[in-house]
Amino acid sequence: MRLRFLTEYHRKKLLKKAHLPKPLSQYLSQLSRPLADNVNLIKDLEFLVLDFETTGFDASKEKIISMGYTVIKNLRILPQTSTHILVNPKQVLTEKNVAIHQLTDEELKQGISLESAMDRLLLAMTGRVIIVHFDNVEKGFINQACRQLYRINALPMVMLDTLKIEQKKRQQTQQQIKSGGLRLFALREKYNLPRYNAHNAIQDAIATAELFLAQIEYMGKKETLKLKQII
Amino acid sequence: MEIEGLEMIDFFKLTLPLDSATSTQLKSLLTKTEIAYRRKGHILTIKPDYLYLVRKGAVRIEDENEALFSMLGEHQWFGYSVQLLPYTHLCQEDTLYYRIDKAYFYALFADNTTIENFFTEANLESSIQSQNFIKKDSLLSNSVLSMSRSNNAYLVDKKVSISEVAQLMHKKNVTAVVITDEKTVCGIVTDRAFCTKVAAQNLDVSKPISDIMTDNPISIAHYKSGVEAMLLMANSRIRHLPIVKNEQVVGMVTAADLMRKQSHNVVFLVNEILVSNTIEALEKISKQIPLLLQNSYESNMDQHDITYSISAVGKSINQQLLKQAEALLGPPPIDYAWVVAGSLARSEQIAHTDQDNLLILSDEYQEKLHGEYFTKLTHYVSDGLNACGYVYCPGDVMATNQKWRQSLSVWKSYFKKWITSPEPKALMYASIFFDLKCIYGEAELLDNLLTKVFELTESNTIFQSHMAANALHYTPPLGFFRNFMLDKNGANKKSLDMKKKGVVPIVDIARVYALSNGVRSVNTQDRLRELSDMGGMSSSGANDLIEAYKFINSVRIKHQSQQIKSGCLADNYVPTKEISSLDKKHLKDAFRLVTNMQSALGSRYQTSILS
Repeated sequence: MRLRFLTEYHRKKLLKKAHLPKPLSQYLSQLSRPLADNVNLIKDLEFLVLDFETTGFDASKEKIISMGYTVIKNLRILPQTSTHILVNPKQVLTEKNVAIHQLTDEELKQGISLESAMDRLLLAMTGRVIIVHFDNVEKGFINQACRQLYRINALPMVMLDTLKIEQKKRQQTQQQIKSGGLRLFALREKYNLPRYNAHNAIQDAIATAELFLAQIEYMGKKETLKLKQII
Repeated sequence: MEIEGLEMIDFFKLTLPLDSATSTQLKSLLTKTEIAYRRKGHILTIKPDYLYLVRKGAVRIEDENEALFSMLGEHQWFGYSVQLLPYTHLCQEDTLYYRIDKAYFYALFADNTTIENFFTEANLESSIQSQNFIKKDSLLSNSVLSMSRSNNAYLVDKKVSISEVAQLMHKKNVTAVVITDEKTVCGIVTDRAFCTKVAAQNLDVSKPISDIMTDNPISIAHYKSGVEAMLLMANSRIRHLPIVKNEQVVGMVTAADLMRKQSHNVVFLVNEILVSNTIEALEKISKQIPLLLQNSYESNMDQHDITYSISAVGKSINQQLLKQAEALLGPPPIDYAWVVAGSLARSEQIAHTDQDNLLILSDEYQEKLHGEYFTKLTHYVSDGLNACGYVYCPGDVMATNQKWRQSLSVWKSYFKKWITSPEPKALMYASIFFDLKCIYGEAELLDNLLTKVFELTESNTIFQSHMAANALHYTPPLGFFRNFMLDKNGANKKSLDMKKKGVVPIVDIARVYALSNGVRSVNTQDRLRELSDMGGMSSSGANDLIEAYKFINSVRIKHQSQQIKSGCLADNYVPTKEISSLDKKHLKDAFRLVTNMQSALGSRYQTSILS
C-alpha cells in the first residue's frame, strides 16, 4: 500500500532529526504499530477519535479553540478516556463562533496554550489510529500546528475518516447520496444512534466514535477485519 | 477525564435507579462504563462481571424455548441476574448499549439502598412475575395471524385499475390491499394513498394500481407476536403489515387490530360489546367496567376522560341491547328515539348507576298497532341493563313505564305543563328530563322536542327561578367555621357524600344557566365552557366551577378506584381520614366556591321571591 509506504518513509526521516520535543519523538516511534497493517486486526487496535472546534475552516488563518477526544479499545468506547481541552487562541472570537460552540472569550482565556494542547494530544495519539469525521479540518489544523511549533511540514498519521468510510460504502453499493446525507447527525440517525443536543468537541468525538462502531458492525466479519480493508 | 456536559451523565440521571445517585457518583461510574454497538439480529454475549444498559434500540430476552421473556428498551438494564444469563439476549433493533463493571457498581452504591434493592433477587422475582403477567396478556402471547381481524389479505395484480381496487376495498371493507406481480408481492396500497396520491394529485383512476402503490412493503412473519408487530409499525411509521408464511401472504394485521387486543382498554371493551349477541355476553363484559375505572385512574388518565370512557361503554351496552332486541322482534314499525337521562346523558358516569331512559315515538304511533312491539323492546333492553348492573330505576323513570314511552306530541305537552305550571313533582322531573341524549334511533325526534323546550324555558323567568331554587337544594358540606359537615351514613360515620353534596350542586348550577341561555350541550364541563364563550356566565366564574368540579370528581374517582382495588363495591361516601390534609384544604376551597356560586345563582334568578 503506497500510502503506508510514504507515511513510513516520512516517519523515519523525521525521527533522524535532532532536537525533536519528547511527545513528538515518542509519537513517531510508536507510529510503527498502527502502520504495521499486514497484521493489524481492527479488533486488536486502539483508536483515538478526535474532534476540533475552530474559528473557521482555513487552517493557515484560523485557530483551534477546543479539542475533544476519546479512545476505542477492543471495539468499545472508553468514556473514562474522554478529554476536552480548551485552547486559548489569543484572539477575540467573532459572535458567529460563539453561537455555534457556546464558548465565550472568558472561557477560552482559561484555556491552555496551543503548545501544551499539542503535547497532550500527541501523547493521546501515540500508538493509536486516529478517527475523525471529515478529515480536512483536523488534518489541516494538526499539520498547521506542527509547522508552527515543531517546524515540520506535516505529521505522519494513520487516519480514518467516518465520512469517507460511508462514501466508499455507498459507492460500492451504488446508493445515491443526498445533500447533507453524510453529515454526522444524518449518518447517526441512519444507524439508529441517539440524537445528542450538545455540540462541543468532546460530545462530537463520542458521537463520531459511536458512528465508527456502527460502521464496523455493518461491515460484518468483525473478528477478521483488517485495518487495510477499510483505510 | 473532563466530562462536564457529557450526554451520558444526563442519560444516567434519567435512568432508574440512578436518579438517586449523586453527580460525583455518576462521574465515577463513567470511568467503569464502556460503550458498544450491535446490529439488529445479533445475539449478545452476556458476561457475569457486567451490568448492561440499553442506550438506544431494543433487546429481546428469550427463554430456553425461544419464547419471549422480556423486551427491553432505552433506560432498561440486563445482565444483573445470574438466573437470566443463560437466556438469549437478542438485538431486536440496532442497539447502542453501555457495559458497566458490576463489582465497581455495587461498591460505589454500597450505601444506597434504593439502588441496591433495585437489583436484588427479590426485585427480580417481582419483575419476573410482572413480566410473566405481561406474557399472559393476549397482545404478547398471541401470534399476529391470530389477531388480524380478517385473516384474508386481498391480493390484487399490479395491472388492475385504481378505481377497481377502490371498489374492492370498499366492498370488502378493508383499509389496505397487497399488490402482486406474477403472484409475487411487489407493493401495498392503503386507504391513505387514495387521499395523498389519487385525490390530492387528481390522478386518473383508470391507471394501474402500481402507480400509487408503495414498493416492497414491510411484512411480518406469521408466528411473530403482537408486540413485535407494534414495534415494527411504530419504528417504520406504518399502520398495515402483510403477514407472511412460507413466502406467501396469508393475512394482514392493522394498528386497529392490535388496539382491540388490549384488554381493559375502552376501545377493546366497546369492540367486544359490538360483537356480543346475547345479554349474557354483555353481562360478562360489563363486569370489566370497575376494572376499566381502576386502570384508567392508575394510569393517570384525566377525570374527564375517565367518565367519558365509562359512559361510552354504558352507551354501547344500551345500543347493543337495542340491536339485539330489533334482531329478535324485527325492524321497528315506526321511528323512535332511545333517550337516556342523567349522568349517562352527560357522559359523567363513573360506576354502575340506576338506568334512566325514555322513548320518544314518532307521531304515527298508534297504541293498537305498535304498542306491543315497543312494550317488548323496552322490556328486553331494561332487563338487559339490569343484568349488566344498571339496575331498575327506583322512581320508575324508564321506557318500560308507559308514561315515559310516548309520542313526540305527548312529550311536548308534558314539558309545556312542567314549564308553565311548575310544581314540586314537575321540578323533580325537570332535573331528570333536562339532561337528555338520544343514543339510538332517530335523533331528530329528540332535537325536535328540545327545540320546543328551549323556546319555552328561555323566555319563562318564573320557571327559571324555580329551577334555580331547586338547584340550591343540595349545598356543599361546609360549616360556618369552614369545617366539614359530615354525613352520618351507616357504617361510614365520618364521611362526605361527594355526589349529592359535591358534584350535584355544580351540575345543577350549570343546568340552570344552560337552560336559560339556550345552551344545548349536556356535559357539565361543556355547558360551562359554552356559557363562558357566549357570555351567559363570567369566564372566571365558569373556569372556577370547572376546576372545582374536576377536583371534587377526582377525589371521588380516587376513592372508588381504591374501593374496587380492595374488592369493595364503589360508593360516593369518602371518609375524611382517606383525604390528605392538602386535599382537604383544596376541597374546602372548592366547596366554598360552589357556595358562592350558589348564592350568586340565587340572587340572579331571585329565588327568594318563591319562598
